[in-house]
Amino acid sequence: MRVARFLGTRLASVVFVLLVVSLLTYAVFVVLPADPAQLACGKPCTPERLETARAFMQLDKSWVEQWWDFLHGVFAGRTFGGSGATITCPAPCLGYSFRLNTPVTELILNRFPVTASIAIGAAVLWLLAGVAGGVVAAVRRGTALDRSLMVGAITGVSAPSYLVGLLGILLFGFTLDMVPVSGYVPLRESPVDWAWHLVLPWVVLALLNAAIYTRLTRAQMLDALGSEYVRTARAKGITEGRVVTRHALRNVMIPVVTIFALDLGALLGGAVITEKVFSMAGLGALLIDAVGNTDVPVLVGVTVFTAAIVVVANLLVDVVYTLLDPRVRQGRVAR
Amino acid sequence: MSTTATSRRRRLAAVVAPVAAAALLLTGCNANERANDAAASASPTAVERGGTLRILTSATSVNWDPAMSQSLAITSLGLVERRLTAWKTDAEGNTTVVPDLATDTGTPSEDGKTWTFTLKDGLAFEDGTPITSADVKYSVERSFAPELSGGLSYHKSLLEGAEDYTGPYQGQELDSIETPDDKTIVFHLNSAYGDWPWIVSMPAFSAVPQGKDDPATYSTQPVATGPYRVAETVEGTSITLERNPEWDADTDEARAAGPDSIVFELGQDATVAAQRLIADSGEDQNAFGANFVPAAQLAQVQGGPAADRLVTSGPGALAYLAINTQAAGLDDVDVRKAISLAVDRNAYRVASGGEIAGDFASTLITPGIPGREEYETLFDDVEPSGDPEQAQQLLAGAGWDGRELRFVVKDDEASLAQAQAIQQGLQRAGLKVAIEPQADEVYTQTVTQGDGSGYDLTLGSWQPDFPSANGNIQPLFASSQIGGGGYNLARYSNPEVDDLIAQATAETDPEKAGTIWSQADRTIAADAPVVPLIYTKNSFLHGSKVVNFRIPDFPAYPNYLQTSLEQ
Amino acid sequence: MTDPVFDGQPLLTVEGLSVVFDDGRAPVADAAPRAVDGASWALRPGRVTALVGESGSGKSVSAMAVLGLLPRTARVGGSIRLAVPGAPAGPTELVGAGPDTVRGVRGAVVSLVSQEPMGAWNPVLTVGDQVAEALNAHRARRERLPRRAAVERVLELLGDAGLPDPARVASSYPHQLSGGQLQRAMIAMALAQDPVAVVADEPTTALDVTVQAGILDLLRRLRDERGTAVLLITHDMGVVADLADDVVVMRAGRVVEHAPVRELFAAPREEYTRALLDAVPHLGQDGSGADRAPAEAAGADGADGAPGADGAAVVLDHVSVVYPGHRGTAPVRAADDVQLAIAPGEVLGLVGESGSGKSTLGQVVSGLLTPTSGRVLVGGVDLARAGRAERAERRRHTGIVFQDPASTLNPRWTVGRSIAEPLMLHTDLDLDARRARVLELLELVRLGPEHAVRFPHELSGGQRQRVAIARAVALAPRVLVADEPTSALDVSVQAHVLEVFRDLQERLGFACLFVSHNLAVVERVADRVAVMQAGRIVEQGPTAQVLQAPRHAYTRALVAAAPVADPDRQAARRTARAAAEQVA
Repeated sequence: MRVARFLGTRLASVVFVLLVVSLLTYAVFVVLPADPAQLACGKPCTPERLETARAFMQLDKSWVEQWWDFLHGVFAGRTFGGSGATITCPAPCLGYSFRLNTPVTELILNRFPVTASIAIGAAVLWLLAGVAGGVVAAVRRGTALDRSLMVGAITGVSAPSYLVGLLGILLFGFTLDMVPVSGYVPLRESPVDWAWHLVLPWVVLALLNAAIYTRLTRAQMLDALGSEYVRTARAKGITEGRVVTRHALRNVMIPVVTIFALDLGALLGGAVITEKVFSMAGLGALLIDAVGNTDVPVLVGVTVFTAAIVVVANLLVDVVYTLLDPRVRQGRVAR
Repeated sequence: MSTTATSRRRRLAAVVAPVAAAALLLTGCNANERANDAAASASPTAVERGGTLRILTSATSVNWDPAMSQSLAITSLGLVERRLTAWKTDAEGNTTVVPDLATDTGTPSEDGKTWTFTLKDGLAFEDGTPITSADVKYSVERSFAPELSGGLSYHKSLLEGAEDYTGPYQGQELDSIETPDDKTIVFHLNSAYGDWPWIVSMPAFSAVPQGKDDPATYSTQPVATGPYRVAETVEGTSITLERNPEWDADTDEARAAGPDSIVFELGQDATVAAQRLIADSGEDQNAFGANFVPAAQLAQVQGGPAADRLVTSGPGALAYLAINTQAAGLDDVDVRKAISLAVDRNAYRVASGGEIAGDFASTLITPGIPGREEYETLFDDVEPSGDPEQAQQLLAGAGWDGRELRFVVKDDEASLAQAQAIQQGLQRAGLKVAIEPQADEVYTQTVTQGDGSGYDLTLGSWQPDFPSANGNIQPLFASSQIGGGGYNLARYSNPEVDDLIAQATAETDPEKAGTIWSQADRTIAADAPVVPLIYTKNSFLHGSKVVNFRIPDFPAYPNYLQTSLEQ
Repeated sequence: MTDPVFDGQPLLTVEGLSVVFDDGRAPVADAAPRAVDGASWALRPGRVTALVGESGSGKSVSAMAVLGLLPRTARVGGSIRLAVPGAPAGPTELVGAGPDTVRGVRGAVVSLVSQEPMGAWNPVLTVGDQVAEALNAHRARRERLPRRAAVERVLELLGDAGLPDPARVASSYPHQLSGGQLQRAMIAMALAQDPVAVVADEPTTALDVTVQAGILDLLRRLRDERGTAVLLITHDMGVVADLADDVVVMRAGRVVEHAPVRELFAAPREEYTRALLDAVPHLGQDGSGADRAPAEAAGADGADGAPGADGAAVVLDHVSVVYPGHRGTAPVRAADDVQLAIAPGEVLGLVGESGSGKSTLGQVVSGLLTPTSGRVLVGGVDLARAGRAERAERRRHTGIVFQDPASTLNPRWTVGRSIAEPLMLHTDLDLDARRARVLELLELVRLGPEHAVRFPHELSGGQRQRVAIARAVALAPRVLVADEPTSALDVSVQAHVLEVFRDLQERLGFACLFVSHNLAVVERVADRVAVMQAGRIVEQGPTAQVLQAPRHAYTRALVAAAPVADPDRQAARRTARAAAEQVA
């Protein structure tokens, strides 16, 4: 089966990428002069206690060994400590945070729904808004509407997200008192509250990102509208709306969806600033927190998880591409 | 030094740099007066009970495990876990050590090496089980386990025979803690230690029931002994405390336990949190911020309706410039004095945010600490902007070789601004200074580990973990605290001072100890290993229904245990 | 709806049509150059009217104006009246008509067959879907053909267009079909709504000659059997001669001459028409290279494909080029055991249809491509075994001219710099010497010294190609590879460039591999001709012999399919071809 073989090779490359990412992450954090054990040493810290902490955290091993233990832990789980009290980290163990007393896998599972809620909602919003804006701008090219959309898009692209987030909170949260300014309510607890708390982050993220999609869609749309096949479609006498949606837009969506999947993948790895501004405990907040505390297991675990998402997003791009573009589906005829 | 109330996150940051968040403010009014006003207006009233208090914090977790926490006695952990002793703060800003689980603050033996405590009657865990001295002993023992690391560790080097002890999980006991009966606990120390009553106010001296101890989960599901128990934790988002029915107010003089429940809102952006407190709408009227108010919001608050809900501490942590006394040429006390005189302390304070950032420092023992005595210092007749001419004369007399000084600081905006202010001051006296910014972890490594060959000057900030001059002097100036993770950044070693420290530490009479500490303070100051810059101040905001929100003279953080809500 | 009865009333009457592109640059719209300037002509039912002219003559713009398919920036003036026979409302004015009126005409009354078959199809929809869409274009939602009926009708249309396997074509995506298939499907789609007229915009330009003939037949059947009027836009006089009934000759936006096809070819009234016809190269023309002298020795040597040991300029010895298969597709043999030799000073014409491998061979000779197997000797040196230095030396003695000069000249360099570049790289000439040589080269290609300081965009297509030739011969190469050097040029320009090329070749005496799909062009310049089909050389020999008395069936088919700019001869050839096909 060609499909099976294709997927097989792609999955192999995914695994390879993740191996390299985890190895590099280990190498980087171990090369850094920071000592995670310092934090676990307590205060005041004596060299003896530092040594004990290092041994317990298995930091006395070489970084290659640590990496190997990490890999092993992913499949078989890990146990820290000697004979007495031990801490177990069940498979798939992406490390154990001694600072938070929690397996990294559990942390990620806790945090991911938050990030995913932010990312997916915002992404859907900005895709719709961005594409709609781009199509309108292209169809109404040169009009005041087009120009104001483009000015808006440039503003959106260049606006700092932290600032927009804060302004959003000040305006809609405090001045108008329309939406809650922070916090996350799990979906299964109350879907309405969930959405209500996410409205502002969604809108803010969508505002910032839609701009890119507006510009991309407009450019691609103008290209498509000037193409031969659109002329052919028009010559058939079909309505302009159908020309735009069925003919031009379908082709425009190919690059747009590609970028969308990659953007979404990156965002799923943690909407760092948005999570910070809106005080939502997502992956981004976890990562920032870990950086601030030299919590290496969390850093490595989250980095590998994020890399996995990005790689999977890439894989999805290929699949979606195949669905959208028959030329890729059948494989180009060699000339 | 102290940590932020609810978080260990910024611990490294707070260790050896001035508290950044408090550093960027400008204000016309005298912050010291304000603190006193706030204290005066909130004169003690009958505790109002009820309501849900919200604590907005940038921390993403609260570690409730007493073995792992560096929480102050008057903040988060104090709400849930009682220790042998507690801190009581009064409206005048005094902080005293008072009995908590114990009936008194401890009885020392003649030689001061053995301390005996008796537990109060009728104490129980949240599940109704009576608290015994064995539970306290177990709590201390488990703080030695490598599984449970990172907590305040002062006791670990004080308890006899504890060097090789690795906790109770392999069945070993720590023999220097005796529990002759269910009510009595006896500690045997390596040497006399007069501040032991303060030491046993630290988290490790809580009570932990061995049968309910799972080291992997205790940090989120502790067994409460205080007025509140942990009801619900949403990882990274919130922690809800509810009343612990087993807690008896009559046994507790440190805790008011006003609110019916307390919610920690975790991971709050400091700016957004401050905005919420300024807006003061709905639930936020029942909230206070655990973080320092950011500079922009501080300016916004001034003169606005929220001004009377801003509470600024008195002089707190000592911010200082450490001179590496082991570096070439800097072992000469005249060179160090020259540096001290050349420093433009006014420029430093401006770089730190101006007057509200703190008052100019003089003594090494910080204000609010018992035993602190003002004395004649190098700076008495010198303008805050320094005296470069006199410095130059001193340098000439000492035959300073004019080499470039390596000034290692943390690589953040606030530290760099402060370092530049110092650098420019020193240059007036012809001293060459090269600023070397280093990332957080690297910086900590450079200044607290190894032989200290990587720096000549560095910036530090220190507030003791307990209100004793011991906490001011010993960590910063005892020769045992050089390298190996200690905070003697000046790498100052003076046998006379070490001796004074030993004497004062062993003295169990606070009055007498205070005198010795003050003497040590003077002795050290005469050697000028550090340049005292300012005593920093911290500002906090609270909602309009929050009452008894007070910052004592020590520590410069609000007392959570007394804070309650207007009903 | 179609009314085959010719009632003398034109279907389309174009009067004083003018089109200006207002791109916002000209201060006043009127100041902008007119793409169409007062053109008048008519299209009658059941007749093919050809709009001919060179690029920029306004023929395509006129046609697109009829369908309202000009870009937004176009300002259209004059009148286009559409009079559908039997329509009660009388003639409709299309210039200035509302979007609904224009849309009502598109597809239903007048439909379009575009030039580039691949680009004219939406790549992400199947051909069947796109044809079906045309069926329903003017139907209200509830009047739409049911799915099954639509599919049946699509298959019927595709079958009518001469596609042997309509079901497969319908379910295919554009990239899965050949140019010829797509163009037939395009005609099927154009007929889906039974229009009275079809606008065919260069319908065969992108196709091979043998395929082209089939498409032209199809269009003719349209006219003959359905009475459809065809507006044919083309630059190819051969196509005009083959298909048109009436001819409108355009130049610079104006109509130069308007006449029935026989009259026009037999006795062109206008000087320009005559020049245009004269410029068309056709087989058997006087002055062809067939009788040129230098061919003899080399021709004899290379005829049997033996590698010339006696100093042939180029020898290809059992050369094969195989492109590996890609994701399960079979490997492609672009060149298959090719035996070829070019004598010094000889021009070898290499002809074949697209995909025959002729360009691949051009790349092999110019050293851009290393063959999978076989030897390539240039100047007696085996390129594969030669050392680095020697290969570089060979390369500098091999010049290359590509089809599209615009893309091979650096747009930011002056012409002089482009020509001087190889001199700088490979010679020690100083600045003055280089300058002199550049002027000398420009003169060789009949360009004045003033051109040295111009940029490519300031030149016409023919001038650019002459610059490219000048650059290719700058180092006095012994071998020149010319890959379709005139295919992108208008006929009159093409004639001029060919003249320059022949002249240059005679003066410089380089051996040349001249790759072209156009037999008439090859006949003009080549001493010998090699015919390529599917990677193999099927026939080679002296030009006259191969083109006038072809031995191989494929060569015969090629020669027969090449259109001739003479309606009568074209008709006769058509009959002959049809007879031959019937016999076969």
